Amino acid sequence: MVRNNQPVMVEDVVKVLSYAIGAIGFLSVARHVAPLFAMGFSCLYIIAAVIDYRRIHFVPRWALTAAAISFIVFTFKRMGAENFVLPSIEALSFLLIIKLFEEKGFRDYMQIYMLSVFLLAGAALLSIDMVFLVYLVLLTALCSTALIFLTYYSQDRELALQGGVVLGITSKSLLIPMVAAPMAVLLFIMLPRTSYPMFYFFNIGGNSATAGFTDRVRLGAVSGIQEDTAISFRAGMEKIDEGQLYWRGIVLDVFDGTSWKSSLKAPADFSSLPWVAGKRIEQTIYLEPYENRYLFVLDKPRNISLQRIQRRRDLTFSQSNNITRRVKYSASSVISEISPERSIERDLYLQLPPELSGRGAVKTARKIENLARRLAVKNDAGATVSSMLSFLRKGNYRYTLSNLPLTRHPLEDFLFKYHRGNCEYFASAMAVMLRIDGIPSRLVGGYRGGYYNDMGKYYLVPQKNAHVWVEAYIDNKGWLRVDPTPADNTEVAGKDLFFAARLLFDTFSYYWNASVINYDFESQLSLLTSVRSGIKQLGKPHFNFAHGKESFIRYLMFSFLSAGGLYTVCVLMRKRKSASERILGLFFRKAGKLGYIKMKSEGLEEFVMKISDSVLREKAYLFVKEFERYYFRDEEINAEASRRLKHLIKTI
Amino acid sequence: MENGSQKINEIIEFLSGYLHGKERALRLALIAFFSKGHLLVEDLPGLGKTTLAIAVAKALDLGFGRIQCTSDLLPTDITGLSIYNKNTGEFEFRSGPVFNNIVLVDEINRATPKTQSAFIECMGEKQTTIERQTYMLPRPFFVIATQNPVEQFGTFPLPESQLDRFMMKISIGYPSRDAEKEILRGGSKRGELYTMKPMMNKEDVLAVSEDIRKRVYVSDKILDYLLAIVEATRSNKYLMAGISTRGALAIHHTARTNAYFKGRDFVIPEDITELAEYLMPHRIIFREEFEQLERKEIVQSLLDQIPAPV
Repeated sequence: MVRNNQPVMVEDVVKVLSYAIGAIGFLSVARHVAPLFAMGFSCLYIIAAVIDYRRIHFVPRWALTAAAISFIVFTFKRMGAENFVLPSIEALSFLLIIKLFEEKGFRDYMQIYMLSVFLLAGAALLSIDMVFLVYLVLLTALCSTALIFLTYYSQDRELALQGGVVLGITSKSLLIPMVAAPMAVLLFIMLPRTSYPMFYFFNIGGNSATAGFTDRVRLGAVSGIQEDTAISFRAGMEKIDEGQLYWRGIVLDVFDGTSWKSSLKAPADFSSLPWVAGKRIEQTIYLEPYENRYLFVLDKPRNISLQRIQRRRDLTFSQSNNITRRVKYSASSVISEISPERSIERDLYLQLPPELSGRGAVKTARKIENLARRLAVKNDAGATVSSMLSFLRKGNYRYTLSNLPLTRHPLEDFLFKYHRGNCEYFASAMAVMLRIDGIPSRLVGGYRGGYYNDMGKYYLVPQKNAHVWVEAYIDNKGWLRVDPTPADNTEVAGKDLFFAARLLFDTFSYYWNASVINYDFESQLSLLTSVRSGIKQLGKPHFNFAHGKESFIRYLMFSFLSAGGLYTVCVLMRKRKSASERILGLFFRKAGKLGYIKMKSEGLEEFVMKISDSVLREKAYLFVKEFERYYFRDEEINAEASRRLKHLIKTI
Repeated sequence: MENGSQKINEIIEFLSGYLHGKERALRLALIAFFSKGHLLVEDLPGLGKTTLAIAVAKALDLGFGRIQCTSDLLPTDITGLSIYNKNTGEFEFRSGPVFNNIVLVDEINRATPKTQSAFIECMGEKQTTIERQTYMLPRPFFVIATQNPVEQFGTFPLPESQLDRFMMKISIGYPSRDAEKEILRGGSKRGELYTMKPMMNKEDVLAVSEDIRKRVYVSDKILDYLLAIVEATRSNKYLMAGISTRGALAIHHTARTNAYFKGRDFVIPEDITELAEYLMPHRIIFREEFEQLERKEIVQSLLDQIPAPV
């Protein structure tokens, strides 16, 4: 323990703390590394401590640098799918020991702390148990204390503090983590568990009149829909025909006259799906959190790689709870307009609200019925579908998001009065008319289209692309997808510069999500492998950014790595000034201010003797004599001497 | 240590009373002496070379011998020889003037090479061999040789190898007007020198030399600086031969002594540069085409190019 009135060098305090931090950093991973490595580390650690204690830094910097670089290269070569974390941890430990070996300056101390924290983070990758928390607390406390002393040290290397002051600073700096810890614990518990903005719940509710996916199609409730450009999901896949981009989310089968909802009566049996002809598309979907539980897959989904979800026969997937964090899943789909189904529950898909089923017989409802019958082709469901489709799409119906009919009978008013509406109106009208004609039908909710990002090779699907279309059951064939909504002519976005920039930023966002947030180890590894192969193929560089994700990321990583490597080399090679050099620098600056500049070949006394002002000369000579005593005797300038010398310079 | 340097400075101060205007020469002579080297004084006659030698010898309570060189001086004249003693019927050795602590060799360039080479053994080995018998010379042993730079007829200029054996080559030069006036007023003080009370004895002298050798610290920075100087002389375009290793050792020793005289127990670069003009010029050999250049200037310009350790 430090006695209260004994002066303590700040440097010593920093050193002791740094060694403690280094030890804790390594201890946190010690049980995972090879025993031989741990022993080697311990030995080197002790040697480094002795060197520091005796102040004999006999190992030349270049040798340490060379060792560090070669070990990192060696580690990089060793990395593979089976051993990824451990080599990195060993490399970090090695860098730590190299840092301890060096003659340390402010920068080196910082690096020691950083490496130790990295090591602790590495330990967390290997296992998290209660010991981790102990290390975390210790490391936090030590680091925050050490940083405080380090700031003192960076101001004055030779600063000596009274023992009591040291204790005071220590206890005060421990306050910082103590105050911060409860907050940190809160964040620690919550953050890794959610990628959903934490305080976003304040914004939920209220205005729902934005375009987006809902599990309920309500007609006539709002007059306008704002386009919401927020991202719904991204789907990594190849580019396909724009007309086939239907992202299936929910099936709505019950209509009550104004709104559609899902009866959820479709069987949860997903096995023995009939074979579908068509192109198979694999997708990886990153679904942003939203206020529902349905998962979107390209129409017609065949498979989805997610555990604990509900798969229904109507080709929809849902989680049991709302999707509150970003979900990643891969799915495979077959591009086809028809999904074969031999038998269906006809009654369910022919359900109509009372006023349309002939019993209620409202006057307006009659008009719909008449229209449906008029469009029907006898005994040919397919022909009926096409005639209705051409009636809605090529008739004088207009797609709009504003001035939607606000009425109690939205469907009738849409068909016969306003002639305008959004996809919900078109799809509802078609499904209802099909049901009137005895053709089972249902609404499918999801998204249509998306923006393909060529660089990232993925589709970006914003909320405003939410869409509803119709599926009609054709006997002996299956469910046929029909989209009665006319193409939206207003869609010209995506061509301007702003949007291009947004897409570019979204690329980064996509990769961040793909490889960091979702912590996809496989993809990180493949990234690393591609970097390695990139380094191996260094002989024949080919910069082709159009090549997409792999090459782009590879070069990005490579340039980062080489920049980092270069920086490390520079930092390691940088020569640090000794105390005597600093003091001399002070003296020469002072002399320079007074107009005296030493020639290179001049000795100090020779230089001082040139000073014409005798008083000045005397004072300078005093300093020089004192300084030479240390310098040419090869004696370390200690704190006391440094202070005296600096004082002598000041008096000049 | 403190005592030693203080004593030496007292000696210098005291002797200055006898040697007007020769303080610098006196200091250099003492540096050479305590560095266990020898001194070559190149000067005209009558400027006080002998007085200097006697002063040093007397102040330090050391034996003093003087040899006046001529072309017919034989080696035995300086080393001594065996003489037949008819009473005992044996040859007995009569030591020559070299068997003194301080030997003044006047006009050494007038001696024949044979005699000069007899000095080489004395100076280098501090011993002499006469008729297969080796005699150790007394310690300390210090040779002050003088040579006349003007008279060149009938002289045998010292070969380079022998010049290198002299630690320093100095010249006393004419005294200043004031100093000379003082001399004229007071007359020669040579007689007083002989009766002077010694200020140090032989043991003190040996102790001081030992002190210098053991207690003055030479940092690696200084050694590097010294070696840089040596290397510069070896690679200089004007020079055929640079400083020898013996020369480097001489610089090293004198620098330590210089530091000691100044009361320091460590060497600073100035200890070297101050003495460079006495240590270096006679050790370097110019290329034929640059013979006429001023040696001291070359040495100075050489030093100006070498960065000091600070």
